[in-house]
Amino acid sequence: MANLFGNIGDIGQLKDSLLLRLNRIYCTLAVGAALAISFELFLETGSADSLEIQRSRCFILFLVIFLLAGAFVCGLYIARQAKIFARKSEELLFEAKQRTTEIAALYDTSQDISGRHRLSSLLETIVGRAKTLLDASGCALFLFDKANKDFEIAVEIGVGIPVGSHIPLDEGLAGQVAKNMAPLIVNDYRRSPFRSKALQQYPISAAVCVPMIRDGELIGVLGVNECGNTKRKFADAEARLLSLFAHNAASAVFNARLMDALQNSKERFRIAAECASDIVYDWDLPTDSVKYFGAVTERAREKHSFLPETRKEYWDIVHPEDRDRVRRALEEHLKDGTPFSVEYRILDENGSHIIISDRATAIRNSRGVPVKLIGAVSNITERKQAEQMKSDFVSFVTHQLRTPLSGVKWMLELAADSTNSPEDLESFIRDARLSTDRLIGLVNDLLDLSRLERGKLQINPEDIEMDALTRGVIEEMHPLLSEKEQSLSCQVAAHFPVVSADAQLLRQVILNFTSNAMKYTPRGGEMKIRMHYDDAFVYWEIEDTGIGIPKSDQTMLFEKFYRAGNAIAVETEGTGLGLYLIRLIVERLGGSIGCESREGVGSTFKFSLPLHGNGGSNEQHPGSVN
Amino acid sequence: MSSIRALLIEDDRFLRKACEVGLKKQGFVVLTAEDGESGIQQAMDGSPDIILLDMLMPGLSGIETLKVLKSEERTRAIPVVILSNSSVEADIQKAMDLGAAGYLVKASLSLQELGRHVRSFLDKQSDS
Repeated sequence: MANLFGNIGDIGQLKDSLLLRLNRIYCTLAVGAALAISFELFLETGSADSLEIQRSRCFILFLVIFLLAGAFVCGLYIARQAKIFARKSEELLFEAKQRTTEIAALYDTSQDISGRHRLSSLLETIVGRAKTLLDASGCALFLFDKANKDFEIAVEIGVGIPVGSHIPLDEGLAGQVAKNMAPLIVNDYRRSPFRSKALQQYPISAAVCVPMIRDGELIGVLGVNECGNTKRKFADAEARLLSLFAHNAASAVFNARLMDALQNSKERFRIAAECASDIVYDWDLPTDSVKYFGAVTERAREKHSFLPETRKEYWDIVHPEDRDRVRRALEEHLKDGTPFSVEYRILDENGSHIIISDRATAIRNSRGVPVKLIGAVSNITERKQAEQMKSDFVSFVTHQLRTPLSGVKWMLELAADSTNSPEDLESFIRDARLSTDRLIGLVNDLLDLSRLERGKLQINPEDIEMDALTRGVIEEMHPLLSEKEQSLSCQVAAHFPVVSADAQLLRQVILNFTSNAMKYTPRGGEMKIRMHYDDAFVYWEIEDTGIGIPKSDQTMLFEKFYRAGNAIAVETEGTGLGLYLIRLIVERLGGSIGCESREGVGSTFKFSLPLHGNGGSNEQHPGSVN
Repeated sequence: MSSIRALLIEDDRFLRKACEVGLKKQGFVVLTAEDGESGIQQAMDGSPDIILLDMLMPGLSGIETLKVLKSEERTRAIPVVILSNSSVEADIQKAMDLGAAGYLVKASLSLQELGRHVRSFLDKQSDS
């Protein structure tokens, strides 16, 4: 502030100057001497003085006059100096008053700015205040766009410059200011080489532009302008004032942007948490407390699900076998930032285990110490089960395909032996061919299974006489029946109706049921097929005297369940893919499937079909057993 | 050299027949069973030197059969080689843990190779 007063100096300084002091002394002496001499002269006149005395008295008179003249000149000089200094002091006072007003305005403005946190209202306040501060006709704020490396006209007042448009970095006053990082005054805007092409249509006559800098970084440029044909010229002092203001404005803009970004980020997080199908958590590590977020959390709370509140409670619900692994992964992440993404089991409120996927990131303080853990947890039990089923299915199918393949391979190996008898050779080749057929059948079944599951199996309905179809199958099974000395009878109700269904699929079902029964019936055992009907359906069942099926296994019978333990689902003879496929076929034909069994006594497998085939519905209806 | 008595427990009739003929051609005496239960019975009565056991069978599964064979006094000492077409790691491990002497995948072996493996298993037995 002192610089604003320039090098004018001090009235006080002048008062104490040597010149003035000397002058004062001189005047006093001069006046005193003049008085003394004059007094002496008057006292001494009238006597018959000698010429010498008269001459010396003249000399003294001249001296007195000279002294008085000198005093007069000094007085004039002093008066003039006093006038100069009076003027200067008036000027200083005026400037001091100006500065005070400006400081007051600046303070006012800064208060106003610091109160505005939202960027848009802040920017408007800035240009409004800047315009008032310099008492100009307009003001524009050019925000520096780091990404595009140009200026965006963020807000303006008084001129009508299009807001939102961009000006390249090397153009115009703003560009110059940015390049030099210093204020620029242009008092004849129309003739200035720095005039921006984009703004030349506006009637700007003079402008002063200052950079808005925060922490050495350019936030933008603030430009105050005078429009119309006024002869207004902006002064350096005004540029300085505007710079001070711009400095504050830059800080305010920077802070407002941060606030905006924080607000956006909070909003985004909230939306994400709401939409996520996960439970989002926020562990505060020092205080060992946790907050939960998200829609799933709300649902969990409604169901009064258990959400652990402390670290200890959390470890309690993690499956004991998984605890070490999860602990280690967490420690590694906290120590060196190895990504934390683990799948493990936890106890749900029913005491059963669910599999969850847990992904988290630690937030660290300035010393790198983790203080928070933010993560998301989702229930992947179903996905894991599906994956397990897929993998089981693949192993199962691999095995099923390999079996007939080994058959072919070995039969051909035997056939290749030159010491074979013709009968042996014939039998080996025949068996190889049968194995190949079985293999082909299996592959077809796999295709059917895939199509059935996707709902894309082609049904070719025709009128079928089921008893004829059944008898055909029994005929086929004859060699095997006699080998195992089993009997298979077939009982058909009178006037058995014709059914509309796909012949190939239906045959597959009957064949499968029949060969199953034969497999599980002991040597010499008895099997009975029964067929009856009512108004809406036909019913087909086969009863065997085999080992029966335990109650616990009955529910899984027709499920897609290929674990090695469930041998019932395994087919080695016949059509290959087990009861699951049969069930899908029956359901596709519009019927339903079922089984009754008693351990040690035997089983009855049955299915029903609608009399008027509907090409595939999965409705449940009488005759099915679950 | 007295011939080796091998008991084959296999439910697939083609495989059973091929294996039987093939091993017989290599000088083995072959007993066959089509499921676990009759297999155990044969093991107890027929005093085989080695048992070839399929894994996936209806009724008593291969694992179950193996358990019984290894717990029955009469059959405990007979080496059991699993002959399977499943190569699931978990199953292999389970069988070995239960005391199987070896695990062979049918589809990767010719009958000749199978015979050789059987002999080598028995040689190992007699060495130990």
